[in-house]
Amino acid sequence: MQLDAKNRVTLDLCSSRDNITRISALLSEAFEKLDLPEEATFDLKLAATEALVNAVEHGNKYDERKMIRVSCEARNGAVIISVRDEGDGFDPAGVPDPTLPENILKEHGRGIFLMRNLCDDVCYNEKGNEVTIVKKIPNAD
Amino acid sequence: MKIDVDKVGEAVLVALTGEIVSRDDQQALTEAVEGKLGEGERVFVLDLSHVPYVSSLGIAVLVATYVKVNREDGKLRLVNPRPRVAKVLEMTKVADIFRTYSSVEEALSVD
Repeated sequence: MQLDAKNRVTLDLCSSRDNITRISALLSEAFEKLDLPEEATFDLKLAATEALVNAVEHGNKYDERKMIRVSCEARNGAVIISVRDEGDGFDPAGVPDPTLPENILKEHGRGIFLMRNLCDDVCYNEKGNEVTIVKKIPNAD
Repeated sequence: MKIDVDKVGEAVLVALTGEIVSRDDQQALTEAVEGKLGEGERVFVLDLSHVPYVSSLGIAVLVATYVKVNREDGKLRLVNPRPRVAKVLEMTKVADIFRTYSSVEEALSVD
């Protein structure tokens, strides 16, 4: 784990289910230290977990030889989390809307929807193997 | 996540405690419900009062449970999801497929 001059925490980890749980817990601790409102902590934890799950499951396909880089920082009144995998990427615009009637009873497909609806901004890089989530929170710095 | 299963009248009360986040959680709930369906039970009350957090996997678990119970002509009722969990269920429209009650007593009292 690294802490750089901007107080950004960066973690590199292999793509295992255990690491999803571990990193989700670490991020939760970080959010608590920021003294964020309970709702914001819930939303960030959920969005971050979805990004981690997508990176492990879809990006790196559970290949533990492939790494994920997670970074988290608080600046300019926002918490910013990035998750990058070593996969081939994908087109986020092609993900079906899970709230459509034909998709409601499907078990999967809600991760990106939840990220987008719980946070203020969700951006993918061009390749589609890195997502940056931004949640505005007053006094988050 | 801890699961407590109890028979209360005509219904099976499944009380969940903790977060629904992992494949193990998913499997545990699936096994609990499928076991009771196999015994002929058809009315399930899922108490979410002590579930502080669900991920999309948790939502998947609830949807899969609903599908299994519904396929056997059973009924699945949710009880007292916490506000943030309720919001996520509403946001994803998954809340629309469930009947949700504010207490176990209320859920057990309907036909």
